[in-house]
Amino acid sequence: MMEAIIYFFTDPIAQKVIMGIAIIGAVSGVVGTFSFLRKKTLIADAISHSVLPGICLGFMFAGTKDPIVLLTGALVIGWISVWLIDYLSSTTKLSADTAIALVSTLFFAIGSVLLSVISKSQNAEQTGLKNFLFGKAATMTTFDIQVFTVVSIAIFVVVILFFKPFQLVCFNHEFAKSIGVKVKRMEFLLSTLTVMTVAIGIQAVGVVLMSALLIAPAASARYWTNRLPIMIFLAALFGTFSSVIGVMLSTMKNNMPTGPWIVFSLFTFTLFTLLFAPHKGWFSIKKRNLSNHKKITEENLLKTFYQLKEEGNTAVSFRDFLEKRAVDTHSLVRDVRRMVKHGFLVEKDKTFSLTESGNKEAARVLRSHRLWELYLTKRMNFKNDHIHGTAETIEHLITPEIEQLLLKELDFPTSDPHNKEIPY
Amino acid sequence: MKNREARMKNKKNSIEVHNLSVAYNKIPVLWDIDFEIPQGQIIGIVGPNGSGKSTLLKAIMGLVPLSSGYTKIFDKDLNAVREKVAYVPQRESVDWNFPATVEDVVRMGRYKPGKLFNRLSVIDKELASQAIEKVKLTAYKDRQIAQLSGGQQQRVFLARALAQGADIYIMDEPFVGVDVATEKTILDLLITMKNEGKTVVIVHHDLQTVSNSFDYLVLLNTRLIAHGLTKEVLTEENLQATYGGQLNLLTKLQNIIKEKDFPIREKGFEDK
Repeated sequence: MMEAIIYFFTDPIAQKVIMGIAIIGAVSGVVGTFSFLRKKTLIADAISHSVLPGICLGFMFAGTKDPIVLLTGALVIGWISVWLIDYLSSTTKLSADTAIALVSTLFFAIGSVLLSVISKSQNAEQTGLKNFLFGKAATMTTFDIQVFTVVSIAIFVVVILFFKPFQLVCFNHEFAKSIGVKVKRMEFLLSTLTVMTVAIGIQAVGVVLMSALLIAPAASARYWTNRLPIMIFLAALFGTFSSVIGVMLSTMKNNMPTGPWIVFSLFTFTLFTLLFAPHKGWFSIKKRNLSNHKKITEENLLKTFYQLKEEGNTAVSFRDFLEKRAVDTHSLVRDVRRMVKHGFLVEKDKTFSLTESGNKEAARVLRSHRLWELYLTKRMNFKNDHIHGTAETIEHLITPEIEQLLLKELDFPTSDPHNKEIPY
Repeated sequence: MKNREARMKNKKNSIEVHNLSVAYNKIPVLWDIDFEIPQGQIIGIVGPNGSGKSTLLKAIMGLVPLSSGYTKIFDKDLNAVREKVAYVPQRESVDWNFPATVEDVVRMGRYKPGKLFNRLSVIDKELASQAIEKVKLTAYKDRQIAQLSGGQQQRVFLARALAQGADIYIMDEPFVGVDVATEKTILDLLITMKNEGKTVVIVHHDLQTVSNSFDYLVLLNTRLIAHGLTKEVLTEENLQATYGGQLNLLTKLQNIIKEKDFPIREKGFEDK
């Protein structure tokens, strides 16, 4: 393992491949962000499938794997596919997703036919052409990488220059048009950037899997930030890391195709994001739910003790409690112990009673409950027999600030709609 | 012709709509609409749902293809006066999950097509901040726009238009889905803008609310019902025509046009 990693950073050929794939990953992340925000991720997928015949035609034309000719072929055919999708979905009854599916499969089929025609030919150069299907980073020559780097830099420059119009077109194209932005031209430019990115990426990633490199980094980046410039930067970072790791993995696994391994590492990044992203991630949501649940349970527990006290019971056994409020015995014992530890309850001869701070907290919850019931009847026209359920939940949500507002609005009432005393 | 000459002399128009027909999804939704509206007033374009109000605004803003006619703003083509025009699209027309803050969106109002490659100047940023202040969103300026209420989002759009520093503001349903506080904020702002000599054109779907703030009304229901000073136009008869439902015969004809995919104007016919 260590040896392999050292190899990647010391061997000059491996270094070049890593450099090449890193820049391809970055540019895919950047361009993919705009496809993602325009909700055109399916178009990105269609383009990557559609460029295969372009590569084949380029090869047939040049007779060699000259990257400039192959790129040009990919660019032209990729563009025709975009135009055809647009034409079909705007002039026929076909919906956009249908048009995308039809065009991308048709172009991929044509590409496959051309690929088998080429492989039957006598041209010795054609051996590596099949690598365009699933990608093979190691087949990138120094010249390939130089060409890809130049194209990538050009794409970065265009994105920086056109950042504002791109942002406008992605967010609100009607507004963009209203201030005189040439929306059609900007959309054309964005599509062209997508086609170019696919064209430089397919040798390493493959036409079948290239769209993942455009979409996944942007989709992940969106979870980590609410600012477009940061999102673009993060997408570039995710794209780069996933690609580099993918290439390393594929090389370690006996030179397997690179595309699948890049997709695996992209997916790992995405999964990590879905799980751990702040606020919107799975763990974040789970944590919120748990803390809500805990707050509800604890406050209900103290409230029940208070209600029992109102009824005259100040030394409550578990049995007493369960008679008043049916809860799971096991969790009750656990929760009561925790409340004792926090100093809200004290234990004496297997019975429990509220401490001073427990009493204060329980009174606060009950006060919130009864104030809210009063508010529901007085301000929201609820009937007396409909208010308890809502108040059971809302009592846990009322902040000190809301409580003050309620007190003021209801003019410091002394009893709730059921004529129970509001504790202060 | 006389009418037209008189119109040419009258330079006080903010918007002129001439013989305008527009089809949406092949159905004509506007039939030969023809009117002018004055400058420096609050003008309501009012009609029921589906009456073509939003389409009319989009036609004025050059966002939809026209079947016939033309529109002018300050007696010029839109392209010649774009910098003087601020357009506020319907709130639902964008995805508010877009990665941007309130400030990001309002600053878009300072983007100028000729200077899109330049960075925003200090003055641009200051004008954006002032616009945010005017709609009372300064406390929210760093918030992601999805985390705002509907009324706050509407105010973001309004602030973006204010940041443009235009002479005419064209707003598509700014009062839809907003709270009372926002409605008041917007109305107060509109009156301030009018007092500064700006023209405000608002598409609005009912006359129950906010209509007494309009100085001038254009009543629309696929065809032009009436236009003029609010107190003159607001008659029982006009309201009945505007809100009394579709014209049955016209609806039937529209359906035939859609079915046969028929053009609204014959080829080579030129509107005078």
